[in-house]
Amino acid sequence: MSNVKIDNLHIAGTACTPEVDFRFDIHRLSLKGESYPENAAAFYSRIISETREYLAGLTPDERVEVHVALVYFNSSSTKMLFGFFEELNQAALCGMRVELYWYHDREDDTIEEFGQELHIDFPEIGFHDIALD
Amino acid sequence: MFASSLGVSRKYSRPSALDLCISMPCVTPETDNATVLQLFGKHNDLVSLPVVENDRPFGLINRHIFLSQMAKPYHRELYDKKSCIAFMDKTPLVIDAATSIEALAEQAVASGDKALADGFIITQEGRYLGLGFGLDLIRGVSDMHARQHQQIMQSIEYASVIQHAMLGTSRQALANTLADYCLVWEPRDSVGGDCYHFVAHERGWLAVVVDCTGHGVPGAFMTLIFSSVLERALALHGPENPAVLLQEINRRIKHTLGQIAGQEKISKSNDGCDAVLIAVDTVASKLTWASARTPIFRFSAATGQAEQLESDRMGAGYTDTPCDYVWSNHEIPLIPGDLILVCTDGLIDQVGGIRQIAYGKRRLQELLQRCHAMSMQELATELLQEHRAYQDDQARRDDLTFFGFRI
Repeated sequence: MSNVKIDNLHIAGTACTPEVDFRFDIHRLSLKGESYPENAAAFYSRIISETREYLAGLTPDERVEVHVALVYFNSSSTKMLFGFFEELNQAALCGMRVELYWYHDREDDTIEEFGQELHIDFPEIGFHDIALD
Repeated sequence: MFASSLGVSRKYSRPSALDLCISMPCVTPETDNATVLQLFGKHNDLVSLPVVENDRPFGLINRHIFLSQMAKPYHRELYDKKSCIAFMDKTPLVIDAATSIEALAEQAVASGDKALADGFIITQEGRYLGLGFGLDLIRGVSDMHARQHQQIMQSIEYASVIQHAMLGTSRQALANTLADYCLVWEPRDSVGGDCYHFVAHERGWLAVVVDCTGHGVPGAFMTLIFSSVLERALALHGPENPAVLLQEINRRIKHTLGQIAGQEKISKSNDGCDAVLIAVDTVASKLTWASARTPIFRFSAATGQAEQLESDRMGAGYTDTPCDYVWSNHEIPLIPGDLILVCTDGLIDQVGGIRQIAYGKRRLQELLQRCHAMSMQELATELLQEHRAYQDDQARRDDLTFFGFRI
């Protein structure tokens, strides 16, 4: 089934874009840092399309871990992140197990609240809220 | 012997290598080393000496390399009468006079430190024209960037004049209508994606605070679209039904930008806004609001508590917002002492503090609780001070707007 080999995707983080570390080979996708690029669509379109391609090549019983530790993201990035989670939600609907680990500072109610909203909007994705000290 | 040759050379419309070209004495391959030595001795500031044959560049003699070679024992005896090509760099950087400063800088960097230290030969139609030097190149690049930056900034500054003018009417109407209010509008980059609108009528007034996607110039474009869409919605539905206005705004933004689901191919954009529309009926002392992802807070005079009021989580105008989406109207009575404050996410989401996390709604509510007795102007000053102290040396992440009033 999964004979299409996709290269891992790594993009170093900057002040306004997150570090992207998508290890498709071990089914572990990580986003870390902040996200407020001038052109969010340009930054995320590749991330979303490669994720889509990766998910399409998976067997239905695969387990995918997604780790997200974002301190700040602007509204354009939010739109793109929704697109990303929509891909994962679709994959989960097809039977794959998608586990989202949502990291935030224990005092950061803004990011925590956003995680809860994601949990409501994408019910097929397993959600794990992780408060960091 | 001195084949110096700065012929007639036309200027180019954009900054080019020609602008850096300095006419320099040059020698031919027939020139002997004794003559070159003499030249370097006579001209102390001569860093490099081009070698030119039949008007074509042949090489470049670096002063220090040449002098140190000739200083070696017996080298003068051996090389004095020989051709000067013995110690020259046979592959100096040669640049056509028409080359843009950007392209030249790229090639100079690619060629290593040689071109920056020794200079580079400039030609026109293959003929030797003169030399260019590293320091002048750096100056040229820096001047060009300064000019480009200035041009962009002047353009944005003027855009800011237009955006201010657009908001002026609302600001005036606000000042004429409300006694105790505050309004802070701080675009991150001179212009921005936040805006507001205020209109008074016989039975009360309507205030709108909007955060369009993006900031800076694209954000400001969106505020213009929003403004015209809102004007149209107001003309159709009047100022008393926030939810209906929001629905109209949603439809019209989607149509303006071609952001209709299923037609994504037509439009590359997926832009819209978060907004809150506040309608106050001063006769009935009633507040009606509809909110698209924009928080609204109240300090209630009855309970003595600051709290967040309801808002819908759907943004307006985006591709994935349904065309016929219906926002809810929420309604509460207003009693004297009630304080209402709305803000864009630039206020809530700003990163700062010891833990480098978002300012958050909790801090804002605590401030409302603490400062509820102040005038709205004082409260705004307090909030801005606290927010700036919280932000500290962190960069401002987004445009920031808040509006508050007290009955």
